[in-house]
Amino acid sequence: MKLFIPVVLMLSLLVSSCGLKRSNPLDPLGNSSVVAPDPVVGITYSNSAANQYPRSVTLCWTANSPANTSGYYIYRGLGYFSAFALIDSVQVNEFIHSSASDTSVQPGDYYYRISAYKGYPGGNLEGRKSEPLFVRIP
Amino acid sequence: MRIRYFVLVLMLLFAAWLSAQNFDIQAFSDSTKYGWKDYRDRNSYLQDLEHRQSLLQIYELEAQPLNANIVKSSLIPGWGQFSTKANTKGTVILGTELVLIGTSLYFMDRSMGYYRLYQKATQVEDIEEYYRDAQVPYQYSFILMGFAGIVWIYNVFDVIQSTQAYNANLWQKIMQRSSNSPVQITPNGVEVRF
Repeated sequence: MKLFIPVVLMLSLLVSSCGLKRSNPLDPLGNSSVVAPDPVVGITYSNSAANQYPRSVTLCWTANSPANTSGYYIYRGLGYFSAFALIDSVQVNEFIHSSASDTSVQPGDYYYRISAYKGYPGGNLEGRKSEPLFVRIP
Repeated sequence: MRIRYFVLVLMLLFAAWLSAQNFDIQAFSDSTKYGWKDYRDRNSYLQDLEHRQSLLQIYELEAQPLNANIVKSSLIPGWGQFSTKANTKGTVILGTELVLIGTSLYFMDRSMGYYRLYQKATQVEDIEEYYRDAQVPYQYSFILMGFAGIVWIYNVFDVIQSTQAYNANLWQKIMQRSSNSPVQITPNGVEVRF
């Protein structure tokens, strides 16, 4: 017991004193000049009619403050929990995904996610992705 | 001036003559003055002394040097214990050290893998996730390294005790060996008693 207490104290001191340095230049917790972009909210969509060509999906959302956002990344996946692929990036709070420019826009069920990003000298810092939005293209 | 020195030397010689004792041959050859009964007793004592000195030489040949064992155990934990024939203790210490250091290095490697991903991450969630994933094994690594350090300190402390115990036991064994065996190994060679 006499030995146990100093050992525990020594280990506690050791563990509390050791921590990895937040060396990522885009880490908001390690660099006070970096601000994380706000999450994208208020996403709505409209799609083209069944017999309309080119087929398209138009996504709109609430614009973030320019203080923390330079643009937005658009992701698309085939399921709620599936992998999402980056399909484009835009500077405004609207995106038209059309089969005229992307042949993968076909009738079916898709999920879209949007995240905001802010440009820094170390690269673009991307914020949290929005919840997947279900979109059906007739 | 010379006369003054001459007189001084004469006075010193006179003082030395006054304080000197006569050489007493009786007292010098008295074999009982150190507690011996007679000259046979003195001879027996001398033989015993020579015997003990020869045993001491054997002891010095076979005894484990403390400093060398400390250095051995400092370099490779358990090595000093193996030298003192404490094989179980040596195995346990060496095994524990290897397991602790190995596990610590494994966690450190795992942590560094996530840390590299953290350094390259550009997305807030990835940055947080990779940092958290790197931090947990990093702390495990430090805890295990701390335990390894404690075991190492105990190992050095133990080798001192093991060596002292071994040497004390060795002296008893040498004494026992010399009293029991008719054939004895001495620093001068093999001695056979009939």
